[in-house]
Amino acid sequence: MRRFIHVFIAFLMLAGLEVWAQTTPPAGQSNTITPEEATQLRQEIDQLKKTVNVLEQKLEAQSKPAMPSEHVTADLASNYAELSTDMKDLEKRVSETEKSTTLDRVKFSGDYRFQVNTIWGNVPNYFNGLELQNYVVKSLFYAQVNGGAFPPSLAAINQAVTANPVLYQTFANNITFEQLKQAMASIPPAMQQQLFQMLLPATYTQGYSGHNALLYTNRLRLKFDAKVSDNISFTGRLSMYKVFGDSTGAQVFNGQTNSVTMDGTTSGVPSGDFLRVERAYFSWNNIGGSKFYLSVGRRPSTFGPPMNFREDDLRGGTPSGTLINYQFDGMTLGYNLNDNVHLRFCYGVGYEAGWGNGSLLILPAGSLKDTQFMGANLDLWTTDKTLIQVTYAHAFDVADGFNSLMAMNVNPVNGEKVPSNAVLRYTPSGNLGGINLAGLNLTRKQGPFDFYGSINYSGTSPNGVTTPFGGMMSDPFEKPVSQTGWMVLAGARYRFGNDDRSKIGFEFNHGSKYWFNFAQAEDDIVAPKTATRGQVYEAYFTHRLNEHFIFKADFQDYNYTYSGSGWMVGSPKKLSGNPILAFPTYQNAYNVNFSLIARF
Amino acid sequence: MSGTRKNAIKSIITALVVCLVAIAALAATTTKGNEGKGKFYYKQDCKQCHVKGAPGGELTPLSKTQAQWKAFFAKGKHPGDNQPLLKVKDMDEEKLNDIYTFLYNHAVDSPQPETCGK
Repeated sequence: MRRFIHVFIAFLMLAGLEVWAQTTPPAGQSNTITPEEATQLRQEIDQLKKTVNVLEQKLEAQSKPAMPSEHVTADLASNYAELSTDMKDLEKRVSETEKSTTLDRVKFSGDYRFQVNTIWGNVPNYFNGLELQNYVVKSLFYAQVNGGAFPPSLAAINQAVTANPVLYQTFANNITFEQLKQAMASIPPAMQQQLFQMLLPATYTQGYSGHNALLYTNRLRLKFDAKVSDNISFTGRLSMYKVFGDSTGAQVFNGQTNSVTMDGTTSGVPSGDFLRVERAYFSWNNIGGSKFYLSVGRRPSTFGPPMNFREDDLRGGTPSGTLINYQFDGMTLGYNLNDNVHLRFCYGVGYEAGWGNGSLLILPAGSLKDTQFMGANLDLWTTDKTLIQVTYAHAFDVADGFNSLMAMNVNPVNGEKVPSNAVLRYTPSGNLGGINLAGLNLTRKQGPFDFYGSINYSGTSPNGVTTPFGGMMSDPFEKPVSQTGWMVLAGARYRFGNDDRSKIGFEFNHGSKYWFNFAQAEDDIVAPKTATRGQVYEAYFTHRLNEHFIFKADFQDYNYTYSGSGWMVGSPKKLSGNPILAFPTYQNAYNVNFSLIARF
Repeated sequence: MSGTRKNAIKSIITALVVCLVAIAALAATTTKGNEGKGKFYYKQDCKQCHVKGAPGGELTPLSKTQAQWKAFFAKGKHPGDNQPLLKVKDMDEEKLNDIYTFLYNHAVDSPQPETCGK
C-alpha cells in the first residue's frame, strides 16, 4: 500500500510536470506564471501533501493491531487473572491426585456375604466301625489276660475289661495300629468272621434325622491388586468365613472333610473371625518379551469354572472347579498363545512332611514324603461366550489326611472315647500312593441362556500302605487296589430380560462309587457337592438389587449312594445296605439358603 | 423324610416360585445393549479413527473407567470436534447402545476373570 502511495505521488508529480510542459510555450515564446496562478499551484500542492499525509497515516494504522478499548481490556485482564488462578488450583489438585495414585500402590476391592441356611439330613442305619475296632482291641486284651483264649461272648470281653481297668487302659493306650494289623492278620479268616458276627450287633446304630433350622454365616473377602512393574502384577485375597457365634477355629471331627481346619479349606469352610490368606501370588508376564508367564504363590485355585455361575460371578479361579477347588501353594508356568488360548503347567504342595510334624523326632524310616501336585490346565478356547478347558493333575505320595486342627472325641486306633473334645494337630501317618485327575469343561453363552458341563475322571494308584483311617480307597485291614471313578456335572442358567439382573439356574451332578476330587474348599455348607458319590440337584436364583448388591436363593438336594465322599481313604460303602462306617454320614440332605452379597 | 419337612420344603419352593414370577413379571424392558454386537461395531466403526497414529488417538475399553464411559455416552459427542456420536457413518441408537455396553463392561475398573497370568 505504501509503495502504491509513493508511485501515486510520483505519478502526480510527473503529471504536474507534464501539465507544466504542455503549458510551456513553444520555443521563442516566454513562460510567465501570474501571481494568481502561482498561488493556485501552491494551494494545490499543499492539498496534495495533506492527502498524502492522510494516506500515510491510514497506511500506518492498518499495519498496527487494533488496541481494545479500555473497558474490554479490563474485562480481559480480569478473566485472564481468574483463569490463571483456576489453572494453578487445577495444577495443584492434579498434582495431589498424581501423588496419591503413585503412593496408593494397592487397589482394594472385595465382597461381604450374609447367608442363612436351613439344613435337613438323614443318617442311615449303620454299624459303628470305630466301636467295632474298640471291641476288637478289647477282644485282644481278653486274649492276653486269658492266655490267648478266643472270647466266648461280648459279655465275657466286657467283664475282662471291667475286672482289669488299669491293665486294660495301659494295653489300649499303648497298642499301635501296626500291632493291631498284625494281630488281625494272625487270626484265621473263619475266626475273624466269627468274631465280627459276635461283635457287630453291639455296634448297630439305628438311622436318624437331624435338622439345623437356622445356621447364619458371615463371609468377608478383601482382594487387593498391585502393579509391581510394567509386566509384573501382584494379587491377593484375604478371607474371613465364620458362623454366627463361633470363632474357635476348630470343630469336633465328624468324619466329613468340612469338619477339619486345614490349609486347603480355610476360606471355604467356616472357621472363625480370622482373616486368612486365601490367595497371594505374583504374575510375571511376557517374560523377555515372550508369551510366557510365571506365577508363584498361594494359587487362585478356588471358584474355577463352571462353579462361578451359581455365584453370579465371572470365573473365579484358574483350574477346573469340579476337579480342584482347594487352596494350595505352588506355581504356574503359562503360555498365552493368543487372546483365546492359554496353556498352563502347574506345580503345588498339598502336604509338607518336614515342617511342623516333629520330623526331627521321627526316624528316617518312618518319615513321610511331601504330597506334591503337577498338572496342566489348558484353556483351549476362551471368549466372552465360550470356554473349552481341559485339566489334568497328578498327586504324588498322597497322605492319609492333611495337617489339620480338629477336636477328636474318639481314638482312631483303639476306638476309645476321648473324655473331652481336646483340639489336636492331626498329622498324617502314612503316604498311600498317587491319584490321577482329568476333566473337560464346556461353557457356552447362547442368547439369554448359559449352558455348562463338566466330565471328570479320577484314578488311584495305592502303594499298599494302610493307616488307622484306611488305605487308598480301602479299609484299614484291607489290601488297597487301584480304583477309578468319574463325575459329570451339567447346568443351565437363564438370564431374565431385565438387563441380566435376574438369573435362574439348575445344576445336576453325579459321582461314581470311587469318585474323588480335591474340592474340599467348595462353597457348600453341607458338604462339597461335586465330591458326592451319588447325585446332587441344585436350583438357584440370583437377583442384582443394584449392580453390586445381590440377593441369592438356593436349594440343594444331596443323595449319597456311597460313603466317604471327598475322602481318598477308606472303602466306600453302599449306604442303603447297613454299612460299617467309622463315622455317620448323611444318606440324603437338603439345604435351603438365602444370601445377600455386597461387592465393592 | 417326615411330612412336616416335606411341607416346609414345598412351602419354601412355592414362595421362591412366586418371587421369581413376580420379578419376571416386573422385569423392566432391557436397556442394556448387546455386548457381543457392540464389540463388532466398535471394531467396524470406531477403530479406524481410534488406533495408534489415527486422528482420534488410541482408544480401547481400558482407556476409561465405567463412570467415564457412562458420562461420555451421556454427552453423546466426540470431545475433539464436538460432533454427535450418532453422526458417525451408519450409526444408530441401537448400535451406539451396543458399543456403549461393550465398552462399559470392559472398562478399566470392570470385573475381570480371576486367573493368574494377567
